[in-house]
Amino acid sequence: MPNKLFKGELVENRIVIWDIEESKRIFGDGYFGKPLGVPKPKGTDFDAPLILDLIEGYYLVSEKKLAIRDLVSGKAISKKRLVEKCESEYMLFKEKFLVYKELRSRGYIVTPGIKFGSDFAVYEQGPGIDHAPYIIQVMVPQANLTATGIVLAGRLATTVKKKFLIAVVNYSQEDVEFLSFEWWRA
Amino acid sequence: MEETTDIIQAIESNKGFLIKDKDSRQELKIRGFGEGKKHGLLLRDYEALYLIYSSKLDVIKDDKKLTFNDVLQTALIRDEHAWTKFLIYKDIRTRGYVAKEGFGFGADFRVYDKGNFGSKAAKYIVFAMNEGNEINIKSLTDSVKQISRMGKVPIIAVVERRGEVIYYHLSKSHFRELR
Repeated sequence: MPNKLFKGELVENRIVIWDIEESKRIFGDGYFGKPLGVPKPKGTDFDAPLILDLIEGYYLVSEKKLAIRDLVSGKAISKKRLVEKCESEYMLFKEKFLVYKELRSRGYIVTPGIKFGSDFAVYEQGPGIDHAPYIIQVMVPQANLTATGIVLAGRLATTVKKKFLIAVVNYSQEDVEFLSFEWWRA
Repeated sequence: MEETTDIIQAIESNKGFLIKDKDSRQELKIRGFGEGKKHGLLLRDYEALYLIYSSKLDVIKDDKKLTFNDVLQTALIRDEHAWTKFLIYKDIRTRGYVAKEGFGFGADFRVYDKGNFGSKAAKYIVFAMNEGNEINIKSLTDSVKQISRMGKVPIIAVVERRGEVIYYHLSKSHFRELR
């Protein structure tokens, strides 16, 4: 018997899981999303709808775990329509999604990296459990890195005691390489 | 015991600066300076600049002693990145490492781990990037891979606008399967 899909609604550019039980199950199974108004949830001990970002939403849709409809029209949102939405909301969406999917499939918890000024924060067990995530910036091979960018990366990795990596994504070859930066004390 | 403060003398050559005196050649070679040539020990421009700066070398041309700036001028005509190379070379030397000419990863050096010069191969390749410049991601990744394949540790030296050098160790990383 196929699994019952979770139900989400697209609200502006976020996906909301209104059903509290579903909200807890999605969050509990891999730290997807954030319970509304609960910045640091302890386990699934919360009573709130869950907000997923588009990458998380699209990943769960791709994994056939989630169905999304539009809150305003009430109509189902196709995968194609969802990709279009993602592409309009994210620079390098395809590349970012490839990194996200790759890391999730290897068992990592991947969360938005905005708090660290980057694309993703990656945990082995989960936020609040391991304290030192990997901070990931997604780039394409043809992009340029500035000296300031390098210093910023090194500074970030050192001051927050995290590992900073650039994910170099060659989308046409579905290839992701990770380049790490550490301050060398010499 | 008397400390020897003799200043070594070099002459200008079209590729660098040449030291003829046998004892001086030996002394510098042990400390990781220069390259033995038929006519003497040949110092690279940054090596000569470093030694002049440290008051250990005089360059003589037409019976006259050249100033640091004269030598720098010559170096800059030969290589537009001579000043950047000097800044990095001086910084690495001051930190107690021996550095030698690199392998062409831009302005680069091979750097020996402390105390290892003369006994072991260079451990690091240090390559330069000036503040204000950009480096292409693909070429950076390629350099890191190439240096790692050579069995060396890639280090990028970011030289800020006032000449301070900040180093970052680069490496290719993998996320192992957790499941």
